[in-house]
Amino acid sequence: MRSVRHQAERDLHAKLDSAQARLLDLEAAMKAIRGGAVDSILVEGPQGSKIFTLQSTEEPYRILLERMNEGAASLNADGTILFCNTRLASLVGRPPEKLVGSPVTELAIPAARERFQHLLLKSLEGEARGELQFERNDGSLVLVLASLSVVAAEPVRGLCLVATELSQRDNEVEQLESLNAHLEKQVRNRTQGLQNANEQLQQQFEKGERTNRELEQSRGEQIRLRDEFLSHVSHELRSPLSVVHQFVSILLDGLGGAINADQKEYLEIAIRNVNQLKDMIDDLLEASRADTCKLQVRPSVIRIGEVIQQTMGSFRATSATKVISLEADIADDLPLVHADPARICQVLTNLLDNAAKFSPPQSCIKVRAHVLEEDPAFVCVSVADCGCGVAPEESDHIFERLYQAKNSLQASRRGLGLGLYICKELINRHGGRIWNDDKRKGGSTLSFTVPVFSIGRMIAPIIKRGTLIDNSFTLLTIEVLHSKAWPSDRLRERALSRVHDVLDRCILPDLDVLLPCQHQSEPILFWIVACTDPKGAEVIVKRMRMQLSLCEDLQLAGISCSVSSEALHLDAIENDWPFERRVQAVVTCLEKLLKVEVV
Amino acid sequence: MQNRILIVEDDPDMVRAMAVRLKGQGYGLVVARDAISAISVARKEKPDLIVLDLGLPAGDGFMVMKRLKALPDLMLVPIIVVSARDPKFSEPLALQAGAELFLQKPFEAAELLGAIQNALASSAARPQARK
Repeated sequence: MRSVRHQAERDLHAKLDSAQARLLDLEAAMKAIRGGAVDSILVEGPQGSKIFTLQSTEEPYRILLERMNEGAASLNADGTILFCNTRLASLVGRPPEKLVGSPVTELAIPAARERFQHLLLKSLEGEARGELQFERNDGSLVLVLASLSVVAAEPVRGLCLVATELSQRDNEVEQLESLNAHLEKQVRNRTQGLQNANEQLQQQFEKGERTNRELEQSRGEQIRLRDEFLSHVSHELRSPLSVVHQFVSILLDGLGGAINADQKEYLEIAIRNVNQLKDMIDDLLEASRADTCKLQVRPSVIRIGEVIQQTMGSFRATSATKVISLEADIADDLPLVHADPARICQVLTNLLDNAAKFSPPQSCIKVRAHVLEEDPAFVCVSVADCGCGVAPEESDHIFERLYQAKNSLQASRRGLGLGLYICKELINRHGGRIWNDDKRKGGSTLSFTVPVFSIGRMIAPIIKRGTLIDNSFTLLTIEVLHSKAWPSDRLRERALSRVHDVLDRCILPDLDVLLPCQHQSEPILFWIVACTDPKGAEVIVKRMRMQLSLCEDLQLAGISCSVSSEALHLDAIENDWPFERRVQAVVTCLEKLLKVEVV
Repeated sequence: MQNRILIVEDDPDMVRAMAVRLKGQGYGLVVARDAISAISVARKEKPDLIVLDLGLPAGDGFMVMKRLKALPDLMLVPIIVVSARDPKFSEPLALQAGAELFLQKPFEAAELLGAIQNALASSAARPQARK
């Protein structure tokens, strides 16, 4: 019995041992599987033994790992390589089997190993990455970005390394950079090309400008020389002409003894021609001034009817050569015009001269003055003769410089062809126009216009420029005072002209308007409408006072000027008013302020 | 009393022409042909009026006027400028220098004679001028 029990005990022990041994085996196998040392397991079952290949479960991952472009490895917690892909092996130039089992830190160059170790420790907390230099088998270096992350598969803690070759990335970067550089170079080249072209253009432009300047200078020089020459010639011609004039008139006046009727007629012809020569010399100078825009026109407010009558009166007195009658048809209600009386007289004399030259004896020259029907802002003056007229095709040309009408051959004397040119320039400077009536038969009619005077017309341009926005207008009044009586009208006129010059210099043509005034009466006042506020007006007043006090000839003539300013109160004017209404409002305000009638 | 007029003019023909005119009007005449002698003749002869050309040898009309206007006994003698120069430039300068009038050559005899009459009349109206 006892031996049976012993036997049973021994059997049990043996079974236990065997079971324990199996357990140990299994534990070792599990460990081996976990440790990666086992690739496959043979399991025996009722249907025979069956091989479980671990590879089969890992295969997709292995393929994935092998296909990766980066080096990859699994490590245990202390950094020993358990597995690596061929990319990592090739990255460091060693076979994979040599890498497995070695510390991963040895992949790095000795100097970087400590940092690698540090990255490993850090990665155990989760993740770490850093740039490291790996050493290839052949000793060459490769820069990699090492990304480490923990793999928490209990009970074993491991790590996973992904190594990206930075030098490769660098290559790509380099490629990109070189592409970039190439592009930049191309851009630079193109830019350079453009810059060169630009510089060339600039140089050509500068050259052109230089040439222009030189031409301008030489033109200016030529004009100066021509003016000097004309002035000199005029002076030299006038002196002997003057002597001829004097002696002929001495003979005519009987100071050389009595003369008979024939002698008188001949001498009159001589003096008429002397005068014609004198006028030609004047025309030469005037035309030269017209070419260089130096013709001075100083408009004032005038009654043009009076100017026409005076001009016709003196024309009658000087040109009694042919028996030609002059007729005036001047409208009674002509408005005042804004024109230079001396210049209007000059233009009209010229037209009368012309008409007389081409008129048959016993004929009549008619001068007509009326408000222009098409535009009542102008007065039209026309001179009609009964001469040969102007051919229609010449109508536009007769006002050209040096133009000679074809039929002027029939006339007794050709002129210089400057008279009508000067007339045109003078009338243009007045803002009017001059033309020939080419529809008329049986003579010619030359007409010119001059603007009707109105304050509105004068100040409209500065209001139009939009300067009325803050409604700042100032009226400046300049009173001319003289310590002694005027020695002569001529000197008075001269002095006022000087004051006018000074005032002209002190104002801005775009912003200020010097109102024309008649200066025959006392006190002598100049008015300026300045587009400025009281502060700006102060500056202008100061400048005017200084300029006037600096003017020596005014002091010598015993003339002083007082300058005062007064702001226009235009608060009621709205900016959305129509233009005409705004102008009218300013005019009304001005007229109230001027108290004295402007004219 | 006969008024004496100094003609300052370098062109002898012009002098002759003016002389005929002025003598015909009963004026006494003295003549100077250049700027320097104009001043010395004026100091010596004390004319009642001067007819002055601007372009002169040994100076010019402006210089003559400047010197004469600085001499107390001659500063009030009226001066009429007669010149072929462009009045646009020369007239203001002449008037500023003290001339009564600027006449451009050629001029009408009546203009000169009228101007001389006016100038002598207004000069006579000033008592200090007759000193």
